[in-house]
Parts: sequence; C-alpha cells; structure tokens
Amino acid sequence: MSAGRMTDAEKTLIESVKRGDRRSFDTLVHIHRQEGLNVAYNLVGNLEDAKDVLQEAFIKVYLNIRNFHGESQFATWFYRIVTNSALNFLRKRKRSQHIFNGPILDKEGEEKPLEVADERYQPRKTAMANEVNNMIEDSLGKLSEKQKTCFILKHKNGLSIEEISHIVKCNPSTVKVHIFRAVNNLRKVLSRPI
Amino acid sequence: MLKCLFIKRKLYDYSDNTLSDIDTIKVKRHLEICSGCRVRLEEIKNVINLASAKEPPRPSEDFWRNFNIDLNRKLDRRAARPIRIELGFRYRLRPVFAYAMIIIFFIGIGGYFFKKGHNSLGQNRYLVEEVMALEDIGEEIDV
Repeated sequence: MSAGRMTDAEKTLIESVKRGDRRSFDTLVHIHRQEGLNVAYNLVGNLEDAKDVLQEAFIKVYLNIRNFHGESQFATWFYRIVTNSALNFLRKRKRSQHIFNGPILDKEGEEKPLEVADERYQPRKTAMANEVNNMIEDSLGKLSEKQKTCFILKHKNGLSIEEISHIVKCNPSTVKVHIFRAVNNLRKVLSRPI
Repeated sequence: MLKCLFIKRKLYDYSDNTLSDIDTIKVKRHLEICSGCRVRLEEIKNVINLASAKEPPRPSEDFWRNFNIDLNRKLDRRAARPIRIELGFRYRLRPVFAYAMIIIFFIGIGGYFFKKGHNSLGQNRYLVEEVMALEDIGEEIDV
C-alpha cells in the first residue's frame, strides 16, 4: 500500500478541495476510502467502528485541508489523520469500558456476570481459525499503543518504516524498535503451547 | 551464546529482507548450524504471517453509498458550526480560559522536553541495536 508520488491530478484535486469544492472532495473520498478503511479496521477491529472512524477522519481532512501544504504525500497525511482518529476512538472506548466495569447485582444483591453479545462469534469460520484470530487480536490489544500502531501499519497495511515514521511522528529507528518489541511480545504469547 | 544474541536481534530484519548483504550472509551461516535461532526465525515468521493473514473487509457499493450520504450529512452539520466565533466569544467572556491555556502551554513545553530527554534514540542505529541487545540479554536471563 505504498503511497507513491503525488500526481498532478491529485494536486489539482486537493487545490479544488481547498477552495471548498465538495465534488472534488467526493472524488478524494472515493480514491482513498478503501485504504483508509483498511487502516481504521485494522486498528479498531470491526467494520461499524471503522466506518465511524473513517468518516471522522474525512471530516477532519475537509476542515483542515488548508493546513496541508504538500510537504509529504497526501496519503501519508491522510493515514496520520485516520490513525489518530482510530487511537482517539480506542482511548474513548477504553474509558467507557472502565466506567461500566463495576459489578452488576441481581435482585438479591448477588453479583452476576454482564450479559453482552459476543462480537467474536462468527459461525461461518472454523473454531480453530477463530481461536487463532482471537489470540492474535487479544495479543495485539495487550501491546502498547505505539507498538500496536507501528506493527499494524507495517504488517497489516504494508506501509514502509519511513511512511510509518511520518504517521506516528517519530524517527525510523524508533519505529523499528517499536516493531521489534511488538514482534517479540507477540512471539512470546503465540509460541506458548495451547 | 554471544553469537546467538547477536543473530537473534537481526532475525526480524532478516525475515523482513532489510538486512545488509554482509549481515544476511552472517545470519544465513549461523542459521545452518543453530537450531535455536532457526526456531526463533520460524516463530517470527509465524507471528507476521498470522497477523497479516486476516484480510480487511471489502464492503459493497451499497455500504459506500450509505457511507457517503452519512458523511455528507455529518460534514454539513460540522461545517455549519461557527467554531471560531464561539471560541472568541468564550475567550472574551471568560479570562480563566486564557490562564488555563497558558498553563497548558507551559505544561506542554515541559512535557515535550521531558519526552525528548527520554526518547533521544535519534537516528543512532548503534543505540537502537544496544536497546535490542539489552532486551535479548534480559530475555536470556529470564529463561
């Protein structure tokens, strides 16, 4: 998913969006929506939330495109916005999970488990594939924010170290260390005998 | 043992094909004689394969049509909001916001320099390697 060089057509499109042309903005959305969805989906883990994150990111793009001066690729700038929106969303979700983490009591005052739909339940997939997928998602969830972001952008979205360093705003060596640590932590969890 | 420590921190780059030619040869030679490092390399490849195996969804055109409608509605609502006027109004009426902003600014500056001090790996690849080596040594001691 390398961004490549920004074409003249894309530059013209961005200039039109800067002037407030909504049709050009729609075209820009059309060009970048799938890649943006991939980044958002890999970070938040489900399509519905990824859709909200992506919409939020596109709104930020429209409202702030005047601040984009073309020093980097538009795609890189856009991925940074999607990544930040996804991370903000995850932080909010984490906070709301903390709020509702308290025990639920039944009529007799006994503690009872929270009854929620299991989002991981996907009858079409085999049990084994499900288990492996869940293990990976769980292990990714236990990584630090930076490790998780760098690992996902590199190995799920196929971005280069250089691109990731622009997105997470740290230098390439630090990105490499984050990925190295993420792989090491995942390896330890996934290599454990089931 | 020391050779393994050196090789283990190169294995990720080796699996990612981003190692220099000299280091690639060193790692290859070592892997031929060391089963422990071969197992480690397999584990690294396994992690990367498993993590990248899950394909992101390719939604239908219907999904995107609804997405666009929803996006345009949200955008109209957001674009119509007079953000700057509202902020200016609050700023004039409540000077406490100005003080809060100044305090936040100085905390931010302080935080930036604090973080910079702790995150000064910079472009120094030797320092990066040191970090990786130290983690490997720590791991060996754990084992």
